[in-house]
Amino acid sequence: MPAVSSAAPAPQSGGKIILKFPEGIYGFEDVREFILLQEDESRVIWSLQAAEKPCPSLIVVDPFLVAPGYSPKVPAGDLRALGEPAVSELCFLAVAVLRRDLAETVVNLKSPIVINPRTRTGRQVILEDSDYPVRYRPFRDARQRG
Amino acid sequence: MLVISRKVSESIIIGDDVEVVVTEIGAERVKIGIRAPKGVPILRRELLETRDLNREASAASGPKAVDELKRLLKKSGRPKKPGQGNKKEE
Repeated sequence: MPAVSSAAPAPQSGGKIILKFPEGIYGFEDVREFILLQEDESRVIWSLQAAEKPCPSLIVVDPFLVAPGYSPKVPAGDLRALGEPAVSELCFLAVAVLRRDLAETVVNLKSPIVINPRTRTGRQVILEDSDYPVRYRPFRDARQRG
Repeated sequence: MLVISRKVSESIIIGDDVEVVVTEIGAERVKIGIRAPKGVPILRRELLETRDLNREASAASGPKAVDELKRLLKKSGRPKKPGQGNKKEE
């Protein structure tokens, strides 16, 4: 599956990527429009912000770079809700909670934000057939070993 | 934690009006049916955890935090050896 950098929808006029979330995201079900912003040159870190209000604003990261080997299987019902896109064209993002102590930073691999770039529609998907954790700590082991 | 063995179609009752029935047992998962009054919320745990994490993420994502993360990523490169949780799906 492609990294976010190649899978993300192209920016619209004004340089913004505007996305529809017909059902919002968990905890923010009433927020139906988000803006996706690139935060770094290597295109690993992005932010997903409510289009019409200051909150929520979430940091999202490329899960394939954070967790090499990541292989999400999107349930059929979620694919239908996204307009039956080809799985290969989907864009995946993982919500991150940043902590000052980077080892405590967590990334949600269980419930990625999945975007159909063609329709610019997104949805937070809970991967049913997987053991991916909601709170994956990408830096903890790396630091222990280094 | 109370642990009870049940066969398919057997159930347990919680309180006065919640019934949990085992409807199917597979190799890796069981299907359960739940009968409860309308007002009782029934949620998968990971859904609640995802909701909580989204809220935490929104509260923790100031511009400062992003700058810090960028700085650290630049310094250390991205994590090379992710630990637990990085399992392939079967």
